[in-house]
Amino acid sequence: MEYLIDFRNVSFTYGSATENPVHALKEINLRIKEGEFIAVIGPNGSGKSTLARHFNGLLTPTSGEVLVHGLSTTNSNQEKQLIEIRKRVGMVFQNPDNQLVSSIVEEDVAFGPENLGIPQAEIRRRVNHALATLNIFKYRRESICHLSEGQKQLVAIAGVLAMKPDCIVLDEPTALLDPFGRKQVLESLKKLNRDEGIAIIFITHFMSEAVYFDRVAVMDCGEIKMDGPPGDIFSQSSLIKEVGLDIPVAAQLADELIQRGFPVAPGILHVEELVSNLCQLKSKI
Amino acid sequence: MPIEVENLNHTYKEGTPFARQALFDINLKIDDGEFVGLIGPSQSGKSTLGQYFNALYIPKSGRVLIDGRDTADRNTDLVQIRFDVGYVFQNPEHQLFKTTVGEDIAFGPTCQRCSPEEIRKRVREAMALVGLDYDTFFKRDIFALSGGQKRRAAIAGVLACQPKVLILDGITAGLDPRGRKEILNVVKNLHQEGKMTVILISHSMDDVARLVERIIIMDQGRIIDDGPTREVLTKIGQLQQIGLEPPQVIEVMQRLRENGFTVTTGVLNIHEAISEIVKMLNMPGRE
Repeated sequence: MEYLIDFRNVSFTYGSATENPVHALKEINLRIKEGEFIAVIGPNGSGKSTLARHFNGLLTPTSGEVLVHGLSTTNSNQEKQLIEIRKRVGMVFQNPDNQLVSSIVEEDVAFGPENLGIPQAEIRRRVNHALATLNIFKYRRESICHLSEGQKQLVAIAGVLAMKPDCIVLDEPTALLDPFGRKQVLESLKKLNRDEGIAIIFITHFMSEAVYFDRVAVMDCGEIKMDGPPGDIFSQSSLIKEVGLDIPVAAQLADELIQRGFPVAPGILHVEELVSNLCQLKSKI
Repeated sequence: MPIEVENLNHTYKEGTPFARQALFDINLKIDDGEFVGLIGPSQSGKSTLGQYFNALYIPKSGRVLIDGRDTADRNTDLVQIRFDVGYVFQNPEHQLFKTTVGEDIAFGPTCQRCSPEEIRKRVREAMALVGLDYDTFFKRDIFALSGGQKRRAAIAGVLACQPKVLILDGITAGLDPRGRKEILNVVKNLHQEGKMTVILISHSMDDVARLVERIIIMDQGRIIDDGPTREVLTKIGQLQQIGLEPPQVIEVMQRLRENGFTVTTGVLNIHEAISEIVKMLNMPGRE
């Protein structure tokens, strides 16, 4: 079966092999199917951003291979192939100010498609669709500097969406946002995944965000240490703490109660789950 | 070194068509040795207000007194105020500008015309306070630091000026959970052992709940609440209304209450929440 993205024994080393090499990725094997909704977590310096930059060939493996729809990112002699890969896999970074290039919202969103040389009418259609999907259509004529950080991040995502990608990789897009902005971004991504079938790869330091994804990959020291549904990942609390991450609060509380002998259901991640479980428990006592 | 703010207003781009008022009639007093969280959503004015505390902004309307010194008074030594009140910005890359960690931290005391011995002593002390090993990091290139280490270096640079008040603006953004905990422990020690007045500017409730004693909530340029941490944080509705998230432990207790359980919502950490839930589960019957 052809995967959307296929990492085959990917290693990456910063610096030369002889002088202070930093092995940022070590023999990564990771397969992502179309339409997946996956979070990547891991401590600072674990290789998450290096990994992210391999999804569309911003970095290419020191050894091994990354295939996007079967196209290798390493064949750099084929410029066309790399352009095709970048059309399919879009990238959003932590700070929207580093990504936005125009001063007006709709101009920025149009920047990508304009560079593809597609007809004017199609650009207009794509820009309007991207803005409407992300609920920022009403800001289309606004100056970007007047938007909140969360809105700016939505503009950055709209710019990627206008390229009609199969997959969007987001490298800590919520790190600089306030809770409201974070919620906006997360909900928009969920919608893109559900309604448009776009695969989302979301890097974050917030465990409370990771629990909303279908699949969570945990990185540490350049390796993928765990990979599975969030319920499985966060129930292994000692492993998670070992790599310096946190367990979501609801899971921590459930864990503590289980240790004290209360028959709380295993695999709880969300506050609502915990509360309804406790209600059931109490009504039995 | 108390900070007093009286009827302070601030307008960005005043007198232009883009004018936007960022602070409205702020009144506030922060006493010596307080540990305060200044909380609010993006653009609520918290960083703008913070920058008045060390005279980066000078009032055009209202007054700011630092230890009784009016920052708008021509005779006030503003440079001294900026050494007395240290400000650590959200992005350490905006603050660090020398090549190595040691040079960067030494910059402040050098400007204060300290003797070479004094400078060395202060750099050593500042690095120890933030947990950067002197031998490992003194000559380390700034670019070779991780995000967490950069923040520590930025804090150390401010500490080397021996401020009496420390303002930390969004210092946990972009750090992993361990990095957040470590940097917040550093801050806690500065307050407890260094006896410093610390003002933590943040939009993360989970960070401040564990630490500060008093919380000031800002929204749209106004102070909408100011009081002891436990008291302010349990007003969940008010927090959610302005787009902030109450700490999750408080949310759990609130939901339990909505479901008819008699629990207090005034919990600040997992341990308090657990003992409250255990008490509830062990209570006979359901109210």
